[in-house]
Amino acid sequence: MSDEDDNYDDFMLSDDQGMESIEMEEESDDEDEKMIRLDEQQDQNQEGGQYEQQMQDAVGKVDKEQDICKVLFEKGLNFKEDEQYKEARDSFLKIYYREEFLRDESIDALLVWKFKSLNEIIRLRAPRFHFQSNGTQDLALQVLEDTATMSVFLQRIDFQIDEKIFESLSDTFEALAPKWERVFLFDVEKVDKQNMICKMEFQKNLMDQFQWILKKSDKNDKLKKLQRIIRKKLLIAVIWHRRLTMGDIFIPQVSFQIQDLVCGMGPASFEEVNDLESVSILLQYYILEFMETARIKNRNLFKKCIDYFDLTTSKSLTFSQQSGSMVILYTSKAVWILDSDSENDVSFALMKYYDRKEELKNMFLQILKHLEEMGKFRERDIDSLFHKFVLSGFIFTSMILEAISADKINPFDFEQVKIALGSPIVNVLQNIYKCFTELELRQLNANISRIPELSIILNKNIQDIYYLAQTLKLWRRIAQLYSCISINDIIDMLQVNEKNEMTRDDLLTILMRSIMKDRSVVYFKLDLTSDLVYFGNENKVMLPRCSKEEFRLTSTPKEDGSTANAKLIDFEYVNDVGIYNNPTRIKTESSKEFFNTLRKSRETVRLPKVNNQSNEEVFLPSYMKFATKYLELIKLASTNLS
Amino acid sequence: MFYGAKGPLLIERIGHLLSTNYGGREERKQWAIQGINYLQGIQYTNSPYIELLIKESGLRLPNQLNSQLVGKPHFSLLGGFDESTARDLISHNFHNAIFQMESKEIPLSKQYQHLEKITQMSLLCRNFKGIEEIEYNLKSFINGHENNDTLKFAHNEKITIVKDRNNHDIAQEDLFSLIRIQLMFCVSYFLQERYFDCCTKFFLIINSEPLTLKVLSEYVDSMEFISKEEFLMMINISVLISIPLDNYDDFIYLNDIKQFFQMTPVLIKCLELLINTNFNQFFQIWHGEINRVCMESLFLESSWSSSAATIMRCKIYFFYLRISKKLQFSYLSSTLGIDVEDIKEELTNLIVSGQLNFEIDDDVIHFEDSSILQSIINEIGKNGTIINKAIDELKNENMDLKDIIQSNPVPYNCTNDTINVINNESSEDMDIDEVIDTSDVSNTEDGLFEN
Repeated sequence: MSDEDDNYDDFMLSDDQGMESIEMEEESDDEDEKMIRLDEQQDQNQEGGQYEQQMQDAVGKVDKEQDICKVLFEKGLNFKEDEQYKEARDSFLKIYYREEFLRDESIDALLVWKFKSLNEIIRLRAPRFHFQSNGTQDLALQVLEDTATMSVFLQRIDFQIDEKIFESLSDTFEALAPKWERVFLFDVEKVDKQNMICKMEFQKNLMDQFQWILKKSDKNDKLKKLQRIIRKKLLIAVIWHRRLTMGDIFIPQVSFQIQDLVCGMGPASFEEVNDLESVSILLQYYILEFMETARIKNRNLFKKCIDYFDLTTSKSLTFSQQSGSMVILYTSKAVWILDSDSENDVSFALMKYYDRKEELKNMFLQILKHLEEMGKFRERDIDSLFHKFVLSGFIFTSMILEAISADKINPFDFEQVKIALGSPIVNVLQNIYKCFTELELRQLNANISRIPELSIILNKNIQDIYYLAQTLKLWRRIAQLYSCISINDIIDMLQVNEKNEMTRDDLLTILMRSIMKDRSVVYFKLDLTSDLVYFGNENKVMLPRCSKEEFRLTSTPKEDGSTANAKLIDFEYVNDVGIYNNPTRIKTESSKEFFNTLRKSRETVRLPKVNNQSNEEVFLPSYMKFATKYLELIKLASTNLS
Repeated sequence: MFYGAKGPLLIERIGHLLSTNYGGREERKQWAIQGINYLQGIQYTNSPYIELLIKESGLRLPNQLNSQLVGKPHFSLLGGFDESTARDLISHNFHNAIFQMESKEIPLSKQYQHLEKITQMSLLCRNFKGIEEIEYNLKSFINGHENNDTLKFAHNEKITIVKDRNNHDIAQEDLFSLIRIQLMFCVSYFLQERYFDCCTKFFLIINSEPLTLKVLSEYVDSMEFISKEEFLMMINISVLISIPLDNYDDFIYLNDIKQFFQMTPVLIKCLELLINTNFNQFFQIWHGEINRVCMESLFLESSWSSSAATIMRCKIYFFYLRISKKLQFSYLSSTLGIDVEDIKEELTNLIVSGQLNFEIDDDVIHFEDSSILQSIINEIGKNGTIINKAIDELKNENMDLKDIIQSNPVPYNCTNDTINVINNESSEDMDIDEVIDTSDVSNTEDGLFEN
């Protein structure tokens, strides 16, 4: 690691990781000292035995026992405060080795002291333990040894002491097997694997010592809670270990266990029992699943967990300031949107295309922001698949939004993207962006295929980009230039690459969708018998032979009895089919207004006034304005003549 | 199949299925037997469907039917009506039934439930005028109790009475009835094939009555009249038919009816397919799932068969006409997945009855600009011929006159006076030569009026 990197690290950490980072610095300073201490500790172990014997002699009475324990315990705590860990450990051990007189009434109190001191011993080195990257093997071994003692002790007393035992134990577990907030299952490429594997092995071994607790069946809620924590920590260790050593964690056994962890808790509700850690590991697991297979099998559970996570973090300021959690949350949301897009989720159809893309873009931007806060934005990080995914996702959605809306913000101007300027992935993205704005379809394709690893995950967005580019090119370049062109020629111009042939139907779909969504810039007509497209406003012709007004005049008397025919010239029917309908978009969010507008257009029979002739009247050429009047005049003349 | 109908509605539904010849022979037999059992249970056989039932069931038991048990039929067989009304309904004696209901004295607290029954009966006998009256009265009542103080007072009093009895359920039941009556108005519009009115009304109710969707999802099936599924399908069809193609994309994002959309995924599916111009897949649903529900339903079938199914197809045909100069029936048939003969018939009908500027030439339909100007030209042409005719007549008369004058030469000397008289007259009228000249000029302009 270069100096620069170090500084960057420090700078970034000091922002939000307060306590932890300070401790980390201290640790990295005095590695030698630590080695010495470890040696001393071993010596002390032997001395401890002698000391204990002396003490035993000194104690005669039972009530004195308590006081001794108390004194020893406080002494231990003092040592601990002074960071004299080996002395502290000795002091606590003395309590543990005190003899138990079985008939003694105060045996319970003694056991509590013993538990407390064992607990202290195990936790003694917890903070120092985490932030050490190497050389922790011996320390780990010792902690495991102490834990074994604890485990045996617990088995012996069978939790038959003070209730607080469960809380203290779970605190201890939390201290020794912490929440892994700065690393993600779905982004392990740049993780210090060796170190992480060690830590996970430790966590696994640690929790394995308490496997026996899982077998206990008890109605005690506190015990159940403890079992849950043990199970959770074990599973997390197993998943991480497997992920780092074998890579593939998608085996039925794991996915079953992880689902079981989050939802298999019987009658209690999902919200009550869950905690962020287990939901977080599930989210990470599903995100990874999506990154690898581009789909999520258990969508319902995924959504449920996102909602839970969202709610919990929004309620707590502490959680919402943990960038790691926020990265997981926003990535989950982005993945959810991507997955819903490809799954054709029905409830998703109710969201406007623009809004969907806007939200997706914001999610990607949030991820970038939080990654930056975590200091995970150095050059070496940026080539990981996850970073590429986030950056590309952000640029792609920005491109789409820029094309379909008025806000023109160059995505490369964002602070979070600027940091990464010059990296290979951003170079590719810049090229893609350029080709898109210049509507160079084949080059666009060539550039996008330079990031094949994302082609499946971001498939929907990539397809959207092609579609948009094709549509834009059709209307901006081709339709403006030609008044008549064959379908095959257009296809040739819009072809993205040789492999993916654009079919005649694809083109017709683009044309039809454009007219339906009122996006066609130039008016067009098709000749489907000889496959020609005519562009230009001269193709605006009126389909019905007469105006709506005249139609109604001639058709209202339904004189003849044939019902089938009468229906077809019905005014309702004409309105439903939309023969006289001038296609106009109705921009409103209220159904009342929407239907009022429709009713108005259905009921209007008169032609709009001449000065009102704007582009709305696409099907009514200007010479038609007075047509009915002409007709009336002429009819009048003929009646006068005859 | 019968949406849990128990009362007279069961007979109606069975009768409907049998008379539209729906289903297989064995199924029909089962239904017919079920119907006969019902009639036996209620001890009343005077149904217009009885012959059909007997024929389809293959049973021969008119005698048995007569030898019935004495005693009152179980109330569950009456479908919420009283005995005589139920009988009137079964025998299609609707007017009597409605008359009986209307003349009954009803406690205020039950008036809406009573009105609901009347509305249902009116729907059964397709008495749309009656329903319109109910709608009108209800509207003035609802408006009235908002504006008019006395009525407001009456309304409040009614509610307080109900509350005094500590019977909250009744007030709520009444409110539900009121909402359901309004929903029945939509059904009425649908039966009249006024699809736009049907869905407009529905969304109006949703907006004005916040409880509507709850009632629709929970308290429609329980009234054993129309099912929730049928009702939703009615709205779906009306929406698809009456909203213009170009506005589907606006409609689907309307904010205040999101909740409704969640209730009918099939509508979302259809709208999505249509918006993406995926007509083929849309018609698979239209002719598949939607057609099935409609054909089975007592309420949907008639409007569906008579217009709804066709209008939707015509809407899509028209879209193709909009964007094409020329297209083929065979192309449409394969793209839309509809039989080519059907398309030919319907599209021809559309072009003729809608007076569209298209000509059909065997397999090809092509645009032919014979717009309103064409008819103006035709009219002008007609006028031209009339004028030409008149001029011709005049010309002939003149020729005749000329001939007469030339063939009867009058000696100048003795008839000087007469000539003077003629000259004087013609100076006021017209000179003979002038007349000939004018007609010559008009001759050259003939071409103007000829086609």
